[in-house]
Amino acid sequence: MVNLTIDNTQVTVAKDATIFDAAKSVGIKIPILCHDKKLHPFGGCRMCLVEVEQMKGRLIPACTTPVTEGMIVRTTTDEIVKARKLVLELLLLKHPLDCPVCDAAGDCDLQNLTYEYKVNCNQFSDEKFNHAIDYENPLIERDMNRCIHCGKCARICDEIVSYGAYTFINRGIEAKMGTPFDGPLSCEFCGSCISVCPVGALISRPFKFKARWWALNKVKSVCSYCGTGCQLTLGVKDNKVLTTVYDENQGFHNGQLCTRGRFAYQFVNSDNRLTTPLIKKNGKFVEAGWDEALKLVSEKLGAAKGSVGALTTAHLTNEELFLFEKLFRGTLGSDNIDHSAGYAHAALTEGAQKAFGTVTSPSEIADIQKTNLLLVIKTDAYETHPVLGFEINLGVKRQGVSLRIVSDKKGKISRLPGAKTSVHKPGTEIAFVNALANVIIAENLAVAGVAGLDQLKAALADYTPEKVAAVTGVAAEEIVALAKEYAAAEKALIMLPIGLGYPGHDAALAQAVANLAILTGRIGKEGSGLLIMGEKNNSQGAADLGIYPKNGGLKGAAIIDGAANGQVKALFIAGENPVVSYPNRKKVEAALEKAEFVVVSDLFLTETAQFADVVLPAVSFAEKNGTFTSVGRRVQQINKAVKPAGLAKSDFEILNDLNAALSGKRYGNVAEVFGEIAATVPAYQGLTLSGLGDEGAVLPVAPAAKLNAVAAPAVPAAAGKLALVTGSALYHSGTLSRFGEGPMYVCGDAYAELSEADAKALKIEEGDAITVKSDVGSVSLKAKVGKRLPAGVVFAPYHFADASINTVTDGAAVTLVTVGK
Amino acid sequence: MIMPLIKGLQITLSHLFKKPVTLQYPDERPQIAPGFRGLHALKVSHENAKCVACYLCPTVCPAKCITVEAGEDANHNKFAAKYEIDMLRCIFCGYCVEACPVDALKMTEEFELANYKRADFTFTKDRLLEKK
Amino acid sequence: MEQVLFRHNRPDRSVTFEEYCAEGGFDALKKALTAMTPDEVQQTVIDSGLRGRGGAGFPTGKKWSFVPRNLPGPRWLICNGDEMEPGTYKDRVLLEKNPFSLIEGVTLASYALGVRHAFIFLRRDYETAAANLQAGIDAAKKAGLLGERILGTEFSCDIDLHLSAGRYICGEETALINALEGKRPNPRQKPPFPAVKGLWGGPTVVNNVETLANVPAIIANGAAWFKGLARNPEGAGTKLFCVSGSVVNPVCIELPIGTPLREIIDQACGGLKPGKKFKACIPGGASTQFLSEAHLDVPMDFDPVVKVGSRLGSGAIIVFDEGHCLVEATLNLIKFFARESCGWCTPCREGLQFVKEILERIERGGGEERDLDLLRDHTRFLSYAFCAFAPGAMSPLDGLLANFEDEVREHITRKRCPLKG
Repeated sequence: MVNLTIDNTQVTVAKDATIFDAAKSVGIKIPILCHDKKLHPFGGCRMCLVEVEQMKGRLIPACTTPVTEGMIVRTTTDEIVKARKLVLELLLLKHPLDCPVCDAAGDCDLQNLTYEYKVNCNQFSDEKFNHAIDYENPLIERDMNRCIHCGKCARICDEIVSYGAYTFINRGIEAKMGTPFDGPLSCEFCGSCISVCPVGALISRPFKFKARWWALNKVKSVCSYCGTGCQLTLGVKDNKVLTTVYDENQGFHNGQLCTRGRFAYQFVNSDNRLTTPLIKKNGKFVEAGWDEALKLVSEKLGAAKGSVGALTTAHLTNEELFLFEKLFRGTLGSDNIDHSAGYAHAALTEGAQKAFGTVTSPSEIADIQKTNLLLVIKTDAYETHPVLGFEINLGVKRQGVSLRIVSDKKGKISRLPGAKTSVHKPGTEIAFVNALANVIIAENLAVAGVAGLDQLKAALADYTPEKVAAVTGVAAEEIVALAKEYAAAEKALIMLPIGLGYPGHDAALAQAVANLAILTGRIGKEGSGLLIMGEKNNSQGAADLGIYPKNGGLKGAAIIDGAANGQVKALFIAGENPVVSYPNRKKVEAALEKAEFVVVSDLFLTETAQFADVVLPAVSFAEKNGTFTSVGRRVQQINKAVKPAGLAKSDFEILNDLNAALSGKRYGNVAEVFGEIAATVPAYQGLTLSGLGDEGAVLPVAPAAKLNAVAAPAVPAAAGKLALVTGSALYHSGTLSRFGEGPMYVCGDAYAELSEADAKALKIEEGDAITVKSDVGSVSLKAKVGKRLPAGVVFAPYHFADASINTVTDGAAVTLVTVGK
Repeated sequence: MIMPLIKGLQITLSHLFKKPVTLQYPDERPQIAPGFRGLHALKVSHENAKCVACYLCPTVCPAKCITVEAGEDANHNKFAAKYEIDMLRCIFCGYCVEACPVDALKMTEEFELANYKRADFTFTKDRLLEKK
Repeated sequence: MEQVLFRHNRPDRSVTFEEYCAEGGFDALKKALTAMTPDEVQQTVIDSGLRGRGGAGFPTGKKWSFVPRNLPGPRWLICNGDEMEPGTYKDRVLLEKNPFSLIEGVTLASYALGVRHAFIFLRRDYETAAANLQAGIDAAKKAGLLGERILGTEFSCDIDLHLSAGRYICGEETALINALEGKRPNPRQKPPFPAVKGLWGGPTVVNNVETLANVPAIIANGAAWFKGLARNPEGAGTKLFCVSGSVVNPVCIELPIGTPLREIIDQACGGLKPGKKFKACIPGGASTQFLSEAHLDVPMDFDPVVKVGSRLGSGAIIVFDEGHCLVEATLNLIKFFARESCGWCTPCREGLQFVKEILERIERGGGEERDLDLLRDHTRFLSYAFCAFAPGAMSPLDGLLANFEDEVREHITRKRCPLKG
């Protein structure tokens, strides 16, 4: 620790702190334009100049100068104020004074400082720039005339997002923030640059001119897409969610968001939202009142009792899922309840259950930056959970974490410094991971005294690096080297993304990777272990609350089958869209067609809702209160920001009403149900809704690690056929992001990605319309050609309703397809 | 006791011989004082309203009677797609004119604002545009 | 006069490798590798009093001693040959005549610092010098004086010649490191200083061409000999002075440190051009303050020149006669600096442009009295910039206002340049 004096106040700070940090810690405000706590110091704006007794004669920047013992700092003298005023005057010389039409006004650092330093006239005069404004993309507008050269956009894009879309170009007064070859912006469109821009040089186009910053009501919430659990601040005006407001102090991610978090909120205000219950009469939907609709639903559910099937999405809050479970398993006595097609949560509910005795993974998000070696199963971890991807970037680039990836294709994280990607044949993950375990055991790298080591050794005897090399296509030496590296690392963390697009990431794979962590004694240690990344914002909550068959009931896909063969008499679907996201679209459609009675509660009249007998309008995360549990077991609160659309009711109300109508208990409010959860679900014990606060609470976990040998499934192969693997596109999450404008602007069409070699052989070029055909069906998609795929592999994201990829897949990890024009 | 009474009558009597102050409105028109704050008008320049929809007038308005909605025109510029003043709420304080950074708003001498329908007191952008 | 750097020069061509060796070249390297430890080499350089010849005049041996000896990983030596200061051309002359002193110097410095891989960062336009250097490096390598196990010892060293992309800011040591890494040449934040964290995060020493070319002679002849070369007691060694401007004979010449300015101009350069009278000079390249006639007797060494309000800089003397307008001369320099600013920090990017405009206005005859205060403010506030570029750029203006304020004022009061019709 270092002691210094700032403006006659004694300060004690860590020795790597800067003068700015030290001043901040005692509440002394030093003005800044180019500094950001998330980024490396820059020192370009010269607003933070201060005077240091020991370096008299010149002013030094507070944001880049480290503290030294006994330093005496003054932050406001006449000279300092004059220097800062000069900086502002110089900046305002070229800055267009168009505050009335600039969206940043009110939240503009330059404006605030100009006001604070009373720069009401300029002793200089000069002509303004006339840079062309970049309107080329629909999300980020770049007006470089307003730029004050703080470089934050370039730095955040480079340091955190690791994309590098910006750099300074030209020299002297002509210097400006540019893109490669000064062309239009072409990037991931995460909008991080907008969030840190201190002025209005970068603005969000979907929010452009919609409201002034000061007129927005800011409501704290949690993103409703993937499982990362990023905290959001919604900008609300006139009962509409108009934007997401950046707050650098929010969450583990410091306000950092991805494309969908920042730009895909519009589904809340969509004109296509369901606003009234619909009942199908003579094949047509007729608007109905809630009483009529709920009466019909409760009658049908009551009649079907134990043969009710119920599917829900993991977008629902914990409280809603609790009621869901109470209604169907409790009141109606049916065990046919599930979510995410059954397989997309099996890594938690079966895999983690067997490996750790709990339906959760033992590590936390904070472990990513604390580890020494990160083993990521599939590069898609970046696409499924982009903000966790940023954590990986930061871990590798700032903390020196070694990144090792086991994947069927390369991806963005493969390009991080020092990252090594072992590209294996599609569907051979388990064999690969088993081989790693085999090497660890064979080389005596396992910790002593692990129970079940001998059985595992025997079971994995066949998975020698040489044999597995033949199966996976990865050299035996590479497998051995990776296993040794993993075992040698002081701390090692495995990341395993799961989801509807990844049928191969199931219970068996989870157990196989858990074996690695258990063998090397990584469970329960900081910066080590296994992080299973649930797909949806409340996937972890759904697992915790038991939304899966526990007593031999039907699983997700089987419930659909049951609806077809009459085993399920009435089917309740809350927010799930099986027609698009469950395996084998044709089969799902046929089943729903045949089903006796189908109720769908959703925000939109989805492809699934079209088959319903009753459609109930539900509400989005912005229209209700509750809690979500994210990856790494953090329980966080969402707050109601706007009134429900039309007559829509939250699933909480719908399920509560139905439960009461079927003579179950009627619960009062969200807090009461949360209290029930805290009382009945062990991990949530002792939590209260008010006690969660802004930060949320991380649930405790007590894993009882156990080795389980799993066999690798046989991978189909046939000459002349390509292996289709599905997954997530970076801009989308599930099937909900289709209703957000942002993602659809950037990635609006279903596509299939081919390797350059295959594309060349098939004479397919980027953008061509291609037909992908399997034994199940065929679909026409847009072709994308990429360097990252190995030959023989086709990748397709699953989010899109038109030309959905589940037309050709049937729940297998790999589908053999033929591709043609 | 009688004195106050006489005093009062004295004042009354004196007024009988003075010029009456009553204005025979509407036959006679009042003289409008300079700086009078009557009905608002949106100034026009180059055939367009000068207003850039900066929202400062609704922000400053103490009666919350101004509704603005901004739009983006073909040249990506900001303009007031909607500009409405609810005259039933307006207190004619003139803060909106003062706040305007582009001098797009003024208050005219127009004070005859009576109407038959409630809806007619909502002055839309068309009605507020300066008449030449 | 004893010539150290120009000892091997041939009048019309570059010295050959054989000639250089025959005249005692690479003896210093042999001596150091066989008879001296790296610390002894460094100590000799410290004792010699050699100061950086690039402009700042920092003691070279001291700079070397800042490199932490116990850090793992490679350390680097970079020779800064990005000579782009207006008026400075000494390194070009040196390298065109003799690249071997530098190669030997770099190798010696690498030995002293424990550097395996050194870089020579050369200005792109110096094509002859580049060809010379590359040929020299190849010849030295062939002769076993570079590369693996030099002269059969444990010491190995390679030199890479890197051509700059051609921007003045690349001469700033941290910007140079960025440029060498393939990044945009923006200066880096100090601390950490390059000696601790420089090229690719490793400890790095950046020295000027002339500095390193002095090292072989110091090692060969000893520190005391080098110290004795100077004309003044506190100085050490010789210095290349490159003179331009209004003199009869503008030359690059090697003279002992401490030679008075008047002597350089009058004797070495043959005095002012016929009929011209001395008015001012810049003693050390574009980023130093003007000196007037009153300062002509200053000994040309680092500290004495600072005492009279300027800097020895790179030793590039630009002479102005009575017919030159100093406002215009300053404007010319400021134009160069405003163009070459990297645009990183506000004062430099926006401030230099503004100073340029004020000076243009004054030169045109449109100046006002308050412009003088504005300019004076800028000489102070621009020194709070990110790197040494903006303070350097303000030096001529500072000198102008200190020594020639009357001339500026005359521009303002007469509303035109008094030296133009």
